[in-house]
Amino acid sequence: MGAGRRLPTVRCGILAEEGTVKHVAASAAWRDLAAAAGREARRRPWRFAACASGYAIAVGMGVLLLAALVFSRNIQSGILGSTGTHFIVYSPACAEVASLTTAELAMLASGTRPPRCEEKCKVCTGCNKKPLDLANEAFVAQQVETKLLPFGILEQARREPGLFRGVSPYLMFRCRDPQDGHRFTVGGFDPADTVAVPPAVCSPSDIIEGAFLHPNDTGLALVEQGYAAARGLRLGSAVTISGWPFIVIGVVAPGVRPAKADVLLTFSDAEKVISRRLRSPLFQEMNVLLVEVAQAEVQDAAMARMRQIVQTGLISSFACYEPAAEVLGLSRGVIYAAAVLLALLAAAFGLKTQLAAIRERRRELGILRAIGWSRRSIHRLMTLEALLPGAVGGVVGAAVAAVVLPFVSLEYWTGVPARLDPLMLPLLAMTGALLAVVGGIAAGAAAGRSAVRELPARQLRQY
Amino acid sequence: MTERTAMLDAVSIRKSFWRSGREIPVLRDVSLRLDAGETLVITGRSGTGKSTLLSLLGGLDIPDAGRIDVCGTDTAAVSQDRLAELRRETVGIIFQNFNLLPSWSAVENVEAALMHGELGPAERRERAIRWLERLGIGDRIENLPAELSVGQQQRVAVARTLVNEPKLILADEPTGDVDPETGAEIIAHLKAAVADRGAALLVVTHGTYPVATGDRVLRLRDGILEPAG
Repeated sequence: MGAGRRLPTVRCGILAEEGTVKHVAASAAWRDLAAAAGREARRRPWRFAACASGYAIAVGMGVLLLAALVFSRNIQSGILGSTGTHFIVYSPACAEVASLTTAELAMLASGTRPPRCEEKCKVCTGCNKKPLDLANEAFVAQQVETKLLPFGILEQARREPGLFRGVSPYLMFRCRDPQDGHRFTVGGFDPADTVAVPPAVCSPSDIIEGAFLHPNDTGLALVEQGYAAARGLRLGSAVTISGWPFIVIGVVAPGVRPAKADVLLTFSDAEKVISRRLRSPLFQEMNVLLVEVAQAEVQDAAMARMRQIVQTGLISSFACYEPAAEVLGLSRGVIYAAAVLLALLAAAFGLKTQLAAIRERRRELGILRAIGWSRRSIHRLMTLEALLPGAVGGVVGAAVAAVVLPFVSLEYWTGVPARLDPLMLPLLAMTGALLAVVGGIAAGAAAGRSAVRELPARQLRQY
Repeated sequence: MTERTAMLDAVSIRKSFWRSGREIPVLRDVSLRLDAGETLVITGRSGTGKSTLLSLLGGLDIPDAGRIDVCGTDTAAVSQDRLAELRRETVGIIFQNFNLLPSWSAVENVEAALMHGELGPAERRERAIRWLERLGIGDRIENLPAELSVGQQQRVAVARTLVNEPKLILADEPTGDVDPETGAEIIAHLKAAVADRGAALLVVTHGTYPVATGDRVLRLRDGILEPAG
């Protein structure tokens, strides 16, 4: 038969039946490909080391950068996270209170709720504990007459530490001095509470004269500096409330506090003296709830939750938590952006390295294709070959960063006496290593695509 | 005359390369057919397009025009993966410059051709070693190509091609760089593949391969195949 002569073509059905031709788009097993990738790393150790060390440097620097950002955010969080993160909760008194008849008040005192109050006052005990001197005295908060709130609210709030860092009961009662008729406010707080009380009522640092109250003190009082000046009170003076003399042990200047009072007593003392002025004594009740929120960023959520708990309640807060929360949110955003940037950087680095390797190995890839390797197998091989240095470099870089970081004195560089949370280190290191692995896979996958785009003959012509 | 199975059927193949915007025609109008159990030798001087023809027939490159059927499959009508499958299962190519993977040992190079099959790692290794032993380099299986002589590299390349027992063997100067003794052994293995398994063998050579071993001999000149002699 000569050149160009045509004979009928017969398909190789017989050959297929013999099992020689299997029309299955097979790809090499992952295990074989991993072995081939490992072999490549072993046989070209310097190239592998160069590639892995590139990843290690990128990841190490990235972890250090992230650590610095997290550290910076922690510092901000320490300052801004507690800026304006407190509020007080109270429930305004019913308008009907003033119109209750003597008979209705007597019903309340005996524990029966008058029919007209039935609907409105599900949990309130305010009416049966109305002051004896209705015209002058009342539970108040920020000039508003209030109802009483049960202690059960405290327990509900304490079950949610993610929102509420601290809650504390507070009594605030407007009294009338029977001697000269002047009105003043009595505040009853828990001196042991160092979380919710200081930002809303007063703190030991507000003392301008004398000493602060202790939890077990009794018969002792703090007076607000303005009230003390107006009434001529000084340390050792006596303030008589409900016939009970309280010795002034401190003068405070609380400034702008939402629950500041003229005379401050321990909660139990306040409970006793106020009860004497009511139709029924107080029992595990307060009229103001002092709240310290976990951090500025959850302030809105905390206030919303508190509105659910105290359905008829009003919340008075400082607005300065809003910019604080915004700054903290921005700071967190910067960290996320840096992490994404780091991942992109690792991927770009890996891609560059892999593309360079592919250019160098075009001929080898052509050989593999010439002996029947599928594009999918080549693609996978490239991915694994990129993954290996990415994983090794990522782990090494992250480990080195984790070891080095505790010795880098962030305090020295920033001048801020703060430390990075030790738990953050492994987390950052793992994140860095993971990003390198992801970067390696992405780079290998992209490079693999490039590797199989050319015709094998063209790859084989490369020297 | 009994109709035989066409392992290879190429019709009016054209192929040109472009250099600096100028077309360099390599294959002008090449047609050929190769049946099972047949040996075709194509001779030609260096640079006449023999290796290019082999690349096209092996599905490694695409012709500018014409049609190539390998085992009944139109290579222009199937995907690159299907072509790879053909090369894996049906076609074995021996390259002029061996094309061994430099970082893979001799046995790994041979095993590479078996990686997509159903054989397990141990069976693959055993089969690869068996072929290397058959080609007389059983004692060098762990050596890298750079650690082997040219003749040994050629044997590895032949082993890699024959290990899959292909039905169509395309050989580019299979004895080009080896001593006469090694060349004779390689020829013997290729002839055995044709005789024992009914494979079709196409050899391109510029003269190192004995044309007498071919059932037919053609010459490639100026991009056209013509009868030799």
